[in-house]
Amino acid sequence: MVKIRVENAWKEYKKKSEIVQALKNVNVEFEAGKIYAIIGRSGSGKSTLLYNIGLMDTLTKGSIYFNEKNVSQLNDKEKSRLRMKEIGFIFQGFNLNKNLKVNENILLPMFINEKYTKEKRKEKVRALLEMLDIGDKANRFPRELSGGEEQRVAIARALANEPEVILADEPTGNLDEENEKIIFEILKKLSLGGKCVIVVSHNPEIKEYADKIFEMNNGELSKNLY
Amino acid sequence: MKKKDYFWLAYYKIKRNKFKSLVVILVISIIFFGGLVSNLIETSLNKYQESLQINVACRQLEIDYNNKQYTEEEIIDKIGTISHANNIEQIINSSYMNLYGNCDEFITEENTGYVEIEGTTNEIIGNELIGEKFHEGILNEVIIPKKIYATWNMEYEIYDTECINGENLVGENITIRDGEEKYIFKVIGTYDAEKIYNAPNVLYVHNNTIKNIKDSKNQEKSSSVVVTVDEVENIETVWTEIKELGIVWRQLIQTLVDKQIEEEAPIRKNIYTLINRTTMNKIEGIIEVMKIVTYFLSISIIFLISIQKVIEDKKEIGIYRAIGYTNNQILRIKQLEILLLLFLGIILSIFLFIILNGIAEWGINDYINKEVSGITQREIQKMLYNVSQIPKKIDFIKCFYIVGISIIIIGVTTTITIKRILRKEILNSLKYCR
Repeated sequence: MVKIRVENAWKEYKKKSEIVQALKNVNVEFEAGKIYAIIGRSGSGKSTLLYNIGLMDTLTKGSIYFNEKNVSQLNDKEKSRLRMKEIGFIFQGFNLNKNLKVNENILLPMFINEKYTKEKRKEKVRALLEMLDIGDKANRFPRELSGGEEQRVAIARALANEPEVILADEPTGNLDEENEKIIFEILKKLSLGGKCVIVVSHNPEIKEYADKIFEMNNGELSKNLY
Repeated sequence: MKKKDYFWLAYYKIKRNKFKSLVVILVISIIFFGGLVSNLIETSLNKYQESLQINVACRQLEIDYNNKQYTEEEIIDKIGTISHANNIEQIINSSYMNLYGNCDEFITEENTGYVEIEGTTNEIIGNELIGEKFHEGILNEVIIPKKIYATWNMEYEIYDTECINGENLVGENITIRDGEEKYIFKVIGTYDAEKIYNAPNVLYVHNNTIKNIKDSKNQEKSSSVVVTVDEVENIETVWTEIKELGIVWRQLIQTLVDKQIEEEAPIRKNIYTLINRTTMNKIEGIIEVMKIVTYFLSISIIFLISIQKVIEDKKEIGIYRAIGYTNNQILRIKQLEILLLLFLGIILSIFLFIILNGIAEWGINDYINKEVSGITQREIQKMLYNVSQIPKKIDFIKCFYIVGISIIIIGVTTTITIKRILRKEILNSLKYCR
């Protein structure tokens, strides 16, 4: 059961001659089995926090702990390995590889996971497709799918290596109402299944599903709103 | 990650972007094709000139004549009557001619020559001299210099003070050692070698027709002409006809590829070519420009393709990063993709090149002048445009240089570009809408 702790996190960017503070002394904890929402205006630092938790970016100051282990100090190879094993990303723009079919997109993370043999990969892909109700789309390319279907493929890809943490950056930003609900329900199910799900979203619907909501304002994280 | 998985990712990227990939492959193939063509022309031209030079050199006969007896015009007129003999050219001031010119007492019919002696006084005293035999068929009587020096420097005319008096050896047998072989000669006379240009320690080997030895003050008793025979098969005929003219004096140096006068052959190397020197220079100039342009273009284009392919795939790189691929794994995938395109481009360029060579062989045959410098059309074809000889005509080592440089450029460029993207731009490429 994973536990994530962000401690005294600062992130600064240099923009021309200016220094922009995207995160200012953020302290927060996330636990397994819950769905967390981070809301706020554009540019408030929500995605910055998410990507730093996901080890895609490096804090200027502060630390991130996964199960009490300081992961901010890891080298690139170790961070990649942790990302591969423990973290699944879902993006607003889906970010599927348009040159690969649906099943091949889901296979992508499994290539670098030595626990999967060829047969196990096939099995896993089949299982994920069934779970997300896109079993009949296995041999289609992303351009042949609807927005909702694409996002479900992205979720399947994020779940390929059975991560403990799911990080979703505006997962419903490009979807209609019906598909929004479907996606949020999937995320809720995942959290109930024991995963730690952190969602960055503008969508007020998230309040219906989140266990905790944080608000980001100008790089600062306010307390639990909900 | 397994190697085949890298290959699979690169292959499917290319396969599923057929149009873009084809454009890149075509561009690469055209560049390498240009390189192959310029390489072929350059190497073929060099090989052709080389064959031509040998072909021409072995058909050039150098003939001595007594320039007191005949003028140059008379000689040229006489030789001009011989069929198959072209391009008569006079050589003057040959050191060897002066050598012979100072010994006009040697009225020999054939098989005369000389040996340059190197030796120590010990060996001279022992009647054994070390020398180098320049001609085969040496007979067993000699005349030797009046003074034989232990060491000498031909170029600067430096004489060692130690010497032996050659006149003391008249009537004696001496041994000339040439490598492992030894030749015994009887000394029948001496001559004043110091008056002979550049030949202090030269030992003359001659046949029984030598009469008397006289000092000669005339440095230019003999001259030479070079005659080019039209075909190798006609060399013997021409030599026989020249001998029958009765103008040959002392020695006919058979051909310019004869070892004895190898140093002189380069002087004549560029005289007779199929294409005249001015045109040849122009062609060589064009080839040089082609080569530089091709190499520069291929390197630039490989460089640009490497950068462009990485930049357009920023999002894809971001995805790989997000799902846990390391920087090295991402690098390998992108580099393999570009290398695969490079490889396919090279294969296509070789294929185009083989087609061009076939067309050239068929097309150029009709335009080559048959009779220029006596080279037949058949010989030209054999030297230049024989498809089965293509591997010998391309300098593959040079071609591999450019492929090697391309691979290095791909490696360096993709590494730098991907690292930059991963450092600065990857999050933006992932964040924004599709």
